[in-house]
Amino acid sequence: MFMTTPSRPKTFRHEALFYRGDDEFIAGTVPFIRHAVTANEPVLVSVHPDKAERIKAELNGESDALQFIDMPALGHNPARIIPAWREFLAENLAVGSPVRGIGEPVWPGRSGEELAECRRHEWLLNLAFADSPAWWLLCPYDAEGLPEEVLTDACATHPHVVEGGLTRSSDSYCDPIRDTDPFRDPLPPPATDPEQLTFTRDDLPDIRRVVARHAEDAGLDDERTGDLLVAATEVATNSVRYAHGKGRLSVWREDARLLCEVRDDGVLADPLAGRERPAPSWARGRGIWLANQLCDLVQIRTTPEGNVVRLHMSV
Amino acid sequence: MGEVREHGLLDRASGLGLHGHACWPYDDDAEMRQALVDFLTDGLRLKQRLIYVGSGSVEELREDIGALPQRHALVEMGMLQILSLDDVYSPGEPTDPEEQLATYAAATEQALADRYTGLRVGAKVTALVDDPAGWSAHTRWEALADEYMATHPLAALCLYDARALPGEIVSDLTSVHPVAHRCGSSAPFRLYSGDDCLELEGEVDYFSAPTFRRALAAAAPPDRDTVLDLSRLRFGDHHAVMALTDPGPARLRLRNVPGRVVRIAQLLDVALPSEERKGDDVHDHTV
Repeated sequence: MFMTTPSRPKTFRHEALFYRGDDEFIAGTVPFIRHAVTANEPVLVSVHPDKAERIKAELNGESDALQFIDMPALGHNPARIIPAWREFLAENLAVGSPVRGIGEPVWPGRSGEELAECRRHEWLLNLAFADSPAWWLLCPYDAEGLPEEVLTDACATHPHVVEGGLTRSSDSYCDPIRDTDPFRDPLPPPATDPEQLTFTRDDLPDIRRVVARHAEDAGLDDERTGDLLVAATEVATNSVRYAHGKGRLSVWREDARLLCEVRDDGVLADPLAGRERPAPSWARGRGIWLANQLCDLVQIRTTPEGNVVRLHMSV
Repeated sequence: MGEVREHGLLDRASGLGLHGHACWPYDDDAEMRQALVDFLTDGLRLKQRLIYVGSGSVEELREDIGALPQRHALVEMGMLQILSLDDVYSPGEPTDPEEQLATYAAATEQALADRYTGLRVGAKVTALVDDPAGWSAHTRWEALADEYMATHPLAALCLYDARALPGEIVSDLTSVHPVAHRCGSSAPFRLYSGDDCLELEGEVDYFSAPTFRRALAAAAPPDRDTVLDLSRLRFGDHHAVMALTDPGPARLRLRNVPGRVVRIAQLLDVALPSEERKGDDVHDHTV
């Protein structure tokens, strides 16, 4: 099977691969990898470990030059994926020597909230690497197992779609620089009555008290309770520092998750906030980064009323 | 001394042992007098010699401890001394912390020689911090005195009139005592001396990290290594971790570093001071 695509993109090239069944997955990914290996381009493959094994088996020893990352482990919170790509690029990418990646952050069985954040992640990739030297990222989507709307979203987040061996430009692609954020839909309201607390700078210890009590009631272990306390403190600190000194905390249980939400009337201007590992010299930019590393899922929305940051912990 | 010093925020100034050191900001005089009498009464029970020193005349000071039973007899017997601040400190002159400590150490030794279990000082010393230029030196003095108290039977209750002082200095003062009055301006953490190390107890976040940096500068002098024990750090956000990774001129070694502190440092790609090694020649906190 031949791809009707240039063998070497000139900028960041972001493609969705819609596959049906194992064979199409292999047919869509392995030649893509072989092209890179032949051209001495470094390749990073981040998929489910089972799929990684299939690829390795197919390559039959050619895979030595490949790097693999367990995507479910890395990308449970999709906000951790862009930093992993940045790290790979920092080590391997230069002008004139491109690299390739395969990333499958979306798979059947992901929750609605996770899928919403995956969609956001896929869209933000275009922004994160808009000015990058050329590299090529292929994102496989299980077109049999995933709901139709997820594939529709993938067309909006990928400028190119590969399906049945053919590559096409996506008519519905939303350019992150030209178009406004297409995924501003508000987060669903809490499913249960939340405990709420309006806070200012003196109330940070109270926030920890409230969150810790809910974590204990929910049976969250000490380790993850500590993680959540740090994340909630960091996010609330941002409200006090950057949103007129105050915010509102909500905490509630929903199914097997504990949720902490901070709302304020600030404006988080950078949609990529928290998706770059902060350098030691940075004066700011650590709070949301840490929340992303410590929580199972972090949802950030900037609305006309202000910012919303929702932290999820599985119980 | 082997036992754990009392530490944390208290509503009443009672229950402090031979090495107790409490910072007591107060908002009204009745509250101040109650704390003072609570503190001195414990000293009687523990058989420490008592001193009450403060600004104002001895007559005024006597009124502050009017509720202390048999205070006249205690004074007669030499068990209680009431001193005007002017008799102890030279007004207008900066206090020399080393000299000051030598005075208290001598008084403590004298109390022991006189068959007391030690010395217990109530000090109403707001006047010593009325000049912002002297704040950091005074905070350093408190930390130095605390180091002595950790290993010698000297206990002190430091009374500061919160109505007369900005919140920042009250917060700084409370931060270098193992015990502080639970009130609005008290720091959410305490940095104080243990047997052979500094102990950090409580919570440090963005809003208290500047206080923590100043407390560290006061309690960990740059001319020697200081071991900082973190086992009582209940909460630290990334600002606490950044303060530990960049502790100014303090030469820190860490002990009992919580896993979360290590993890945050890793996630931020910053290096914590090294952990204390076995056999490190730790400074002997005796004078």
